[in-house]
Amino acid sequence: MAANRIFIVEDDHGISDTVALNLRYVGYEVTAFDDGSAAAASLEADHSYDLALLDIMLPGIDGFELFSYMEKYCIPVIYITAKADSASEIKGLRDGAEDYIVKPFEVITLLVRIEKVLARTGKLNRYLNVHGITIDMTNHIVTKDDVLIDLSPLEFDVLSLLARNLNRTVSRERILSEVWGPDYFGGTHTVDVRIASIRKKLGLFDLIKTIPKIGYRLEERVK
Amino acid sequence: MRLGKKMALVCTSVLITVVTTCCILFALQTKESMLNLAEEYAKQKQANLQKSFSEMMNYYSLKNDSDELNFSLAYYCFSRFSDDEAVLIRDSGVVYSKLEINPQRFYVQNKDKQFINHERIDGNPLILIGDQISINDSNYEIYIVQNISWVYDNIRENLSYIIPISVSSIILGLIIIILYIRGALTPLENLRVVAKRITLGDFSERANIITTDEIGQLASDFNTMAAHIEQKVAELTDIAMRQRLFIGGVVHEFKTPLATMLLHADALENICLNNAEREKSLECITNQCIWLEKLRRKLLSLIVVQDEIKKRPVKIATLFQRVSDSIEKSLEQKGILLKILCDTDTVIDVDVDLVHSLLLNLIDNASNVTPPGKSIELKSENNMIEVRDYGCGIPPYEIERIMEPFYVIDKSRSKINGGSGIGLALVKSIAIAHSASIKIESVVGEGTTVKIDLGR
Repeated sequence: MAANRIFIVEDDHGISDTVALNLRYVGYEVTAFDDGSAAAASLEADHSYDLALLDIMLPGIDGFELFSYMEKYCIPVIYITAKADSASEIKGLRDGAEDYIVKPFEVITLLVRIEKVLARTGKLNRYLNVHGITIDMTNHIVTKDDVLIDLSPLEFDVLSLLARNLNRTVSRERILSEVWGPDYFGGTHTVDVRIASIRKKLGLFDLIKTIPKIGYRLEERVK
Repeated sequence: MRLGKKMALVCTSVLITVVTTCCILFALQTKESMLNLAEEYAKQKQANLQKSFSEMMNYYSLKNDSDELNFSLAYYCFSRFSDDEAVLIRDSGVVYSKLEINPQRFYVQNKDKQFINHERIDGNPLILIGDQISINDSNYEIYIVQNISWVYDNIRENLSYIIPISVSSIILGLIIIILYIRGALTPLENLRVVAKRITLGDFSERANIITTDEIGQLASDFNTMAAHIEQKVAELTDIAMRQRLFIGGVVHEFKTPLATMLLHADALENICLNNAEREKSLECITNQCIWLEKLRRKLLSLIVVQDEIKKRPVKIATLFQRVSDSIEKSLEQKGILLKILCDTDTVIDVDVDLVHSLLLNLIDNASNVTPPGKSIELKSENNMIEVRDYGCGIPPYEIERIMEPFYVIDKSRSKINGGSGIGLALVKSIAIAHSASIKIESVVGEGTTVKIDLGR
């Protein structure tokens, strides 16, 4: 099962490089351009992207113009821009963009928004593959080397959260609030218990790393 | 109380006082002259009567006539000339009188003199003229008693038409005064309305007053003032607008480096990066910090320029040497040569630090477009300083805008060279602070010349 492909057009290399880096680590496949015209031209040859992150102020063709190309190939768009005025935001969203993020932004919000857009447009990978473990997101089934592994619903949610944030540290607080819900009033100890049981059932003792005082990280070397 | 009412009141009271005084004076004068006339007439009459009577008596009377005869003779002679107003008294006895009152009450106390007396008897004004003569040892007193009520009748009659005339002239005067005051004050009222509108923010409002008097002058001065205010408000609005754009620009410029740093910091914190990636992230954060620091310094100098400049005379050659010293190294690294052409003796009066910074900015800009191996020229001629490059040139439609803060022609390219878009805005501010003019001449593909004319 191929990873989701993301198309980035951003003229500031500092930003596009880090965004690409972050996305690659989490498991997306990324193609980046720093020029609107070149990006538009490249779409002729290859347009099988699941999502586009577009800056608005670009050399050559600007972000709003690029949108029509994306529309043509049915690629959902998230704008990432320094233009904070509501007129641009309204124009972007009215035209049909899925989201509008103003710089500076945090990576975690970007990741969540990307995930939501992919889920909404039905392009999110149904299967996550890590170390020979396949997570079927729709049927809530986990297999390791084609053997079905029996996980409780909480364990499944924790595992999928870690898998969706591959190579990223996920704090205990975030795990609690996303899996147990914001109304849960217990200690974070219950997270540690679930992680221990996941490690045991899947044999991921080294690969789910404990990050001292913060949380856990499911690691996989980027190819 | 309103000014118009006050003026009307004062004018009215003055008018009434003047007219009344005139009437009274006129009446008194008339009375005086008429009384004199009546007196003169009575005197004349008395003198004639006395003369005729004494001549006739002297002619007819004899020394030894009896008393009765003399009395009858006197009566006869007197009645020949007299009328109702005459009275004759002989030795304290009334000889002749047609008066209804006893004439003895007019007896004169001082018998030596002719006398004139005004009396009022039974409500009638009378004039009394008398004299005495002696004929044949008898003392005769001859009086004229004249009723002068006609004098008063005459005055009364005069007043009866003078009063209506005065009253109507006062009323006419009042109407003229009120109309005039209203006419004079209407422009003031208009001015007040206009001032009120201007206060409410309509600065284009002007008073439409065409009189040439003081109010007209006030109105024209007022209009001049309003025009100045309108101009100043427009200037201030413009400045405020530009400052807002400027601050917006500053905020915008800070966004991208901040976003980049945030992303890298997040990656360093949360992702198990390999060594090369970690180093790259750290380097990226450092570079962004350096760039922000550069931007901060330029913004600061832009603000400082707007405060005060300290001019002192300096040789252009010295200034150019200083500029060359500070930028030579970085130009050498880019393989660019700086050619300096100037007179050794020309002295200019400038803020050395600011002009130094101005030239550095211009040369820095030039170096960003100059390919390695080519040169940049720094020239001076009299008070004109010139920076010339042989780079790509600036399209004509861009020249107008490049002085605006944060304006960069080729955004992505500029970033690579570390351009912030502040440099030329700073150059412009420094030039303005020195009252110098900037001229940019550029041909695309051939290069750009920036001329700073320090004037004088």
